[in-house]
Amino acid sequence: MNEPRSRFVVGIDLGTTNCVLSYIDMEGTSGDSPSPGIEIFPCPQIEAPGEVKEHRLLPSFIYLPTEQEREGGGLVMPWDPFGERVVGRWARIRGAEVPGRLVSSAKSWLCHRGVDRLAPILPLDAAPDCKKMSPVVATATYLRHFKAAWNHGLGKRAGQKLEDQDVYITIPASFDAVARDLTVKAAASAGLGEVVLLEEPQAAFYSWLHLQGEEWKKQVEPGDIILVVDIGGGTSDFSLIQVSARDNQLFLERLAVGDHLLLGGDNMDLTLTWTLSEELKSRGQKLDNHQFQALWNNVRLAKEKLLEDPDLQSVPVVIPGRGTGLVGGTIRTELTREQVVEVILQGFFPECAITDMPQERQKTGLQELGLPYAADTAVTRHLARFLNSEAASAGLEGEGPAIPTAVLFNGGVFKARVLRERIMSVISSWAEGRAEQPVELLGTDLDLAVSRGAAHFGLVQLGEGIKIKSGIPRSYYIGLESAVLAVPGMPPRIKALCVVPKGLEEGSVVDIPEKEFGLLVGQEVEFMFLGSNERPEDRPGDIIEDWEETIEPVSTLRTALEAPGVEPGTVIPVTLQARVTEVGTLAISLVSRDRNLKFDLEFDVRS
Amino acid sequence: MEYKSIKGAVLWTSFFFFACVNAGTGAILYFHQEFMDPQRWEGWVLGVGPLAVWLVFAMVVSSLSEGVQPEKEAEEAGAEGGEKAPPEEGETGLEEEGAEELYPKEVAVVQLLGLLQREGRLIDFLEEDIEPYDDAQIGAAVREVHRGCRAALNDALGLEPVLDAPEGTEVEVEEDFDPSRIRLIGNVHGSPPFKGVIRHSGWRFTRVDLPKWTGKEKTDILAPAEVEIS
Repeated sequence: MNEPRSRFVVGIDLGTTNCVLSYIDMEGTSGDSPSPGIEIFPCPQIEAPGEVKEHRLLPSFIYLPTEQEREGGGLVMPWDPFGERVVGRWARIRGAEVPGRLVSSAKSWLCHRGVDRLAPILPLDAAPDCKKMSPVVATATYLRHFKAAWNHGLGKRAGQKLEDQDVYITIPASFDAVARDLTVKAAASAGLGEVVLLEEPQAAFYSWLHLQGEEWKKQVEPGDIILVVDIGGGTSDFSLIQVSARDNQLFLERLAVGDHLLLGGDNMDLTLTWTLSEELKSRGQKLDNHQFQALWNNVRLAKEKLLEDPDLQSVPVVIPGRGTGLVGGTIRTELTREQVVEVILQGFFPECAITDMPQERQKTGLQELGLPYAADTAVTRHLARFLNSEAASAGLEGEGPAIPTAVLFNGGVFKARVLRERIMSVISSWAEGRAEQPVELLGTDLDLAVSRGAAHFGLVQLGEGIKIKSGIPRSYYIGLESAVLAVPGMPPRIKALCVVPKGLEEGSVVDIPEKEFGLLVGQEVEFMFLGSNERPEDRPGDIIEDWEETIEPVSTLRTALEAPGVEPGTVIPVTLQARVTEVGTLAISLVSRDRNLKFDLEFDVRS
Repeated sequence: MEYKSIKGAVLWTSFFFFACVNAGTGAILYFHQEFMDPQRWEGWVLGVGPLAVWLVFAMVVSSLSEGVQPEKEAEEAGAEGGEKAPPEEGETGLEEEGAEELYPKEVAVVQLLGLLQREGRLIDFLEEDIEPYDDAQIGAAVREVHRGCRAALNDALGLEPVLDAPEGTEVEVEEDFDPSRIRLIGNVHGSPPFKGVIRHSGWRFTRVDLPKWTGKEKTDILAPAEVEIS
């Protein structure tokens, strides 16, 4: 193993609804001991005004207190003497009572192309006296909370600040180049310095590898295809990992990642809660916001019970009275097995054929500003589409969709055994006629695996344990206006020039000499930046004429060309260069060989 | 007496002393006006000297006391006794420089009852007149109280039975048993060891894991009133 760069290796799971920080103390280990232990950092957070408690999960919610609440003084933390922003458990509870002061789902906004992600837009319907923040600032706020909590507690005792440690942050595999870039920016603005990104499904798999130790080699064999199904609070993420062998050594490669899906455990609970609240309404009992929150919480608990115990037919659900009249105001109802089966199993995990595709909702011209939730709630159909996609099936032997031989689950939703079994049985039905039936890989903690896996990845970077070969998960393009005669009334045709092929690994540089641009120095230039999950065969320099079906716009790339010593107005010839940074982000530049100049292009997230 | 006021007393006394000295030197200057010539050193020493000496003294005193103060406070808190909260298990690292906090009695009440009210609506339940409601309605409400309070108690205190065996089993009470842990009932005579049947397995807590208190020192609020602004 290489010499560690810092005493602690830290993994941070930046989840849509919960964040977790885990760490490995490199001093507590010796060279020949088995893999060192991964600890979860107990993160202090406000439990109620005037009370601070440590929890392993830091809920990803920010509450912006009113002036009176700030003056009350109960919201101060040692690092936030004025209680300006409350992060964690109480923020979630309090924010449900005062929605106009709550920032939530920052992560989903971070990858939403329809909004300016650097502009202060959250909370969406903010109270007039609330200072809004951008999704990037919100993300930085969670990280800053971890940093301050660490530096005041464990870090202080050990004399080790978090910003001096090796930090790995996880992101959904489906995050595009821009969202990855913004996550790194958030970490920098939180003062964490250089961090490295890791995809969540990979992190979950690393956590499994950590638990298995050397045993993992007995559990998989060359030719195996492992599917990671990661359903968080707000997002679903799929990845395929292939096992291969060369010279009696096993290799792991992440083949493909799914599209970004805003569909998670919270949607399931919310749908069930709506079902019950509508039922109550038809009986003449209308719920206010507070009661709805209570119902939501109790429906979740009732659902877990029903999914756990197949003999239960129904579970009582109680909404306690609103005021001090607890007993008198209590509303009783029940959640039945039928409802759970209909809403959760049929609605979110229906049995389907491998050829079934998710239903697309017709997009209306006027779309409300809000998160683009998945139109079809069926996780299994999204899975079918993923396994059918070019990205998944390319590079595999044989024709047709990629059928996994092993499945690893992640996310609190899968605590319900029934849901894991449903996915396994659906995949088994797809694997019919194949030599092998898929097996489930067991042993990881569904809530903490991603964070633990990120810390384990830190060890892998030091040379301990196997590394999953991954690289950039999709290919990226630059839009070029074609030089054909313009047709009046028609927008000019745009062609896509491939600059980053799928699978390009960290540290690699690609030059595209095929296309030379003449650039006017002193003027701003702008490129359309496009991405695709469906064209794994494209190589750098390829020009694609008809791309609208398979390639989609991601962002705009911009730079103001100011070159020292070059007269403004001069035209200089440049070519494109793409680089995958060690951090896991993309850097695209314009290079002038003659003049030895390089201009970095910036992502423009102002939609 | 608090250390802060000792420090204050030292500073004030010294200030008074130097003020008197200054008055004296002022008088000398009054009678020897020739010292006022800026070229002569006597004028400078007599005029500004005492104040400068006091400033240096005051700075030394306050810088010295900064390092000592928390320990002194902790000592005094210990001497007062009773009012201090038990030290928490597992350092949270939230304390500033190891300074112990002083918990008034009320805080322990507010924390435990506030927790049970917040998580399980316990006070609402106990304070409500439940006579008018049928058992089914009460039962429904109790589910909520039970679930919330139980989770909160277990989280905060880690409850365990004192005796691990199920109630009804026969046990031997050893010679050196602790009467605060085991209460003997029935036909009790002679000296241990005794043989008996567990009638109640008792309760103990394994930890006190209440949140750290950062709020006001004095409070009587278990649950705030709620007013909805429309």
